[in-house]
Amino acid sequence: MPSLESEIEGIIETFTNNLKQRKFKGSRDLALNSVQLWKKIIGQMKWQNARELMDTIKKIGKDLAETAPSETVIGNMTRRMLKIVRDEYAMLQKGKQEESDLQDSLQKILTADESDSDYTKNIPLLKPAIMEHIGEFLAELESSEIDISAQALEHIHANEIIMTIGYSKTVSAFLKSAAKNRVFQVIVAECAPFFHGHQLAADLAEARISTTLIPDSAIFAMMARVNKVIIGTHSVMANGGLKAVCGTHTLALAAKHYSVPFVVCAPMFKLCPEYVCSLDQDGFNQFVSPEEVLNNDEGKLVSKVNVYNPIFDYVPPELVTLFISNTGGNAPSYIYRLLSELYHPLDVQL
Amino acid sequence: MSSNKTSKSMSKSGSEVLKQEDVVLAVLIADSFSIRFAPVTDSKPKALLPLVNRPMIDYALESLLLSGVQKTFVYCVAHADQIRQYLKESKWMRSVSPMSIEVISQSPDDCRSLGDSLRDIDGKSLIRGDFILMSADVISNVQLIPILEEHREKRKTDKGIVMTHIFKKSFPGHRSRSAEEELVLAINPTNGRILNYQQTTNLKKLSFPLEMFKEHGLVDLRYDLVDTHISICSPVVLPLFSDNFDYQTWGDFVRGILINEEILNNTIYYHQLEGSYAAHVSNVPMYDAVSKDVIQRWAFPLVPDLNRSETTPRHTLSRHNVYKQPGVTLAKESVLERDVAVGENSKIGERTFVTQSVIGSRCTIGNDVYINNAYIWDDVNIKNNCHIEVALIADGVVLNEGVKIGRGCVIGPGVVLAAGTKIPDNTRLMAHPPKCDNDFETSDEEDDKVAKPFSADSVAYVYQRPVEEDSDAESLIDELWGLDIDEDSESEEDEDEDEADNDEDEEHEEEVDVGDLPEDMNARSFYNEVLESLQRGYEEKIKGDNLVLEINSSKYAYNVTMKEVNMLVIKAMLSLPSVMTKKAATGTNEDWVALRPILQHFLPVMRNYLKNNQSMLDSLEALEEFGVHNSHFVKSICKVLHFLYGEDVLSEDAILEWYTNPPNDPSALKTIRKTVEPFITWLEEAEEESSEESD
Repeated sequence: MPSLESEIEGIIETFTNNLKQRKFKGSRDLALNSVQLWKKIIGQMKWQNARELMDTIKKIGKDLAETAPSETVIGNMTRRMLKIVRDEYAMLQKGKQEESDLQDSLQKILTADESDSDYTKNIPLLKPAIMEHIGEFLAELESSEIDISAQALEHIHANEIIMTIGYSKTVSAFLKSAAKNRVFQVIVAECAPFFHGHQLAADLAEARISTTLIPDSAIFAMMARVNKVIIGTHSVMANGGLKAVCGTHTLALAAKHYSVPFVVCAPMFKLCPEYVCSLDQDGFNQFVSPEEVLNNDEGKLVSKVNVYNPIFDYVPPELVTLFISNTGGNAPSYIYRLLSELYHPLDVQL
Repeated sequence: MSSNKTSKSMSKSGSEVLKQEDVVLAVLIADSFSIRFAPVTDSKPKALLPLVNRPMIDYALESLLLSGVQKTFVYCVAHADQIRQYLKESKWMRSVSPMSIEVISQSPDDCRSLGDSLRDIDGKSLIRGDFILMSADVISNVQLIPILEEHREKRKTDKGIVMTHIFKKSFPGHRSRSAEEELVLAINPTNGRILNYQQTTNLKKLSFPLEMFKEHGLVDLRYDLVDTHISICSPVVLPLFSDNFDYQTWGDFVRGILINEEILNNTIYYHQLEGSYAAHVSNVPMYDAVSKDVIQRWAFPLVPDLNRSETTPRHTLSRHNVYKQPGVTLAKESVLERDVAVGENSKIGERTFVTQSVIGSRCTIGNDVYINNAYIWDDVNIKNNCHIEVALIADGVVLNEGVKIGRGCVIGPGVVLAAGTKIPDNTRLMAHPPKCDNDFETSDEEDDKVAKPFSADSVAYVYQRPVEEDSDAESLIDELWGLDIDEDSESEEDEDEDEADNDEDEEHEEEVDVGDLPEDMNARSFYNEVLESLQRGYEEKIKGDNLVLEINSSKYAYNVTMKEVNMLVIKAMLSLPSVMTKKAATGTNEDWVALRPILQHFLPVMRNYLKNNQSMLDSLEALEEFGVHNSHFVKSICKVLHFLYGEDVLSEDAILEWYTNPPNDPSALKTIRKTVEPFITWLEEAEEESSEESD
């Protein structure tokens, strides 16, 4: 990374170090922190024009994404930053022209390349405009959880039985918010081998929601009596498929079998413009230490068996009924549209 | 230098503003003080050897960084300049790094062990607080800060805590149990104190002091633990090493602390890892085991697909744990079966089969090659039809067509093997002829021996391990790598050499029978050490005080009682003439002629030890025992007694008391007591005279 001031390098180093030490709790925390990081970088960096700024953002963003290849949120936030720069530049360049029109028609999307200016003009007002926009975006991120849980009453009705899996902060807030007005039951699949479901069950029970904890193997058996499945996800892929905690695919298939609605709480920052072309795709899944599956002290066994411990499952979009984002409910088939609003097509490939 | 920056960014990030004394310190010893990896470590320090395409020191530093350590002292000895250079160019020394690093180097002549390095660090007085002590060849994902907190917490209840040592549970048969580091630990399960520590390699019997069981209501004896070579140390550890210059290894330290527990009230605690990974790459088989653990992701997040730096891109991971860096070329029908890592820009030829192996950067591997369980480092060129199974192949090796490498081989850097060469199992090869300065064999002989197994076009010489005291155990462990039990000609040769050596040693010992040497190994080694010190002391005319110091340190090292010290020192002195001239006592006057100057020289030593009546009795007992076993000595015993009496080493009372007590060995009555009778009567008369005079 040439010509980066050491101050900025220090900020990035601290961020990557926190990332490696797993200091960020959940993906919203990660999203918030990376946007704050970008705010600092853009604020402190010396740049002449938008082109230069975008090149640097791309370069740093690529590097950050390499540090934690499975954390799509980092890439998403980088793309959002680029989009903000583009929007503000266009805005100041063309006056008060509404930039979002540009992508409305297919023709305009196709010709976007030509109409795309080269971003080399030096606009002194650009920096404050970008900073303001980032500030708004931060506020949106911070309120995303509340915005989602505000919709809870529209989806959870009295005396329903809801099933969920593992631990998701969004789902926990969503259910608790509904519990303020409605009485319902929750069944939590424990999500072996990490057993994050235990934590959610404890949380919900504390909030006086009638909660049942079940092993993952009982998902299908319990599905018959369930009214709705509500889960969180790690990210939403470009086709509306999910990258979610291991075991979610099982849950989705069982829900499909019993025609139970499969609802996914996913704030907008989890939308990722990447496709899944193969389950072996680099950086899609993350394999952690097999320690949870097999104790490393098991003598001779360790050298005789191969143990894998993947974190994520891929759930194809046809198994998902509805996404609840902070802006409202959407069908999986509509994700492509949301994506084109969120990110600029040229930034999909960082 | 960079600490300012760190604290600045820390305070900026908000929540935790750290006080200066709370800085978490670590000491990383970047030398293992062993030659387990020779000849590879002849030109490269062990800390920089690649483990799954990454230098080992990187893993150690990364794990310290991930633990939240803020300052690390890297202490390097062998090839210190290389380590310094490497760190300088790496990301670790950048000013923005959250962990600051200071490199301390010392020449290998001044520092030969862990003990020496800690003494050196103490001398530099760099550390005032608790610190983490770790070896640079440790791969771990342990979160050390909670253990450090635990250590500090324990200090509240136990002021004498000097160390919390970290162990990992692994049942026997586990691949990451190093055969040379088998240990048994006695601990108090209620508070985690270590009560006894014994290394059990090649031991069939263990003994524990009875007091241990009496003192502590509950004692756990643990055989399922593996030493991780990570410890949390109180600052007092450093001066403890300085005060006891016989502490060389961690084991010495622990034994020393446990022996002096009552006096100094120092205690050592243990910590057993739960759910995290740590292993020490102590030798080649352990290198194999730890590489597999890293590839199979036990050491997560220290895995190849998350590790990267500016210079080396990360590996991508595909199923069955196959890792590839960018630029890898796989020809058609080549197979990477499972647990394989391939470095940057390496090429793998057609129909080549690779499984459970690591291939470094820029390697070229030909067609129809079979690679199983091999560790191939950078820039290696392997031509068609080679067969490699269970081997370590260092940088820049060239294997021409059809080379077959036997199991357990280590091929040193730069070796070139001609087409069709077959290397027998367990061979270690290097590219330059062995240095013969310390060997008595001439270089011609070496060359003959070396050139034989390989054709003339090869650049390869057999590496022979210098014979060490513990070479038996060592060679056994190395042979275990990838082999069941397989004897080959070379190891037999080795054994022969060893036997020859042993024979010589035994001869030495048989020449002088010093009498009842205790069965106890400690006392025996103590005796040998004292004998050595005395011999050197006499030959080099070393001052008595220094000798006393030396003997005392041996005393603590081997934990012998004061009585034994008195007896053994006397015995050693008496046997010195025959040890030095290598012939037994003749029974003539010459014996005394030879012995007298020696005793004369060692008078200060004797005066130091024989201060009270009891010690004098001990020495007389020793004298007697020596006489019983060396019949020729009896003739001189009277003269020795007279001399020692004359020099005021032995008091009259002691001699008389000894004489009146019945001897331990009845045969002494006839011989020794008889010979000394005239001396005793003379003594008694002299006493009477003097008492009369005084009256």
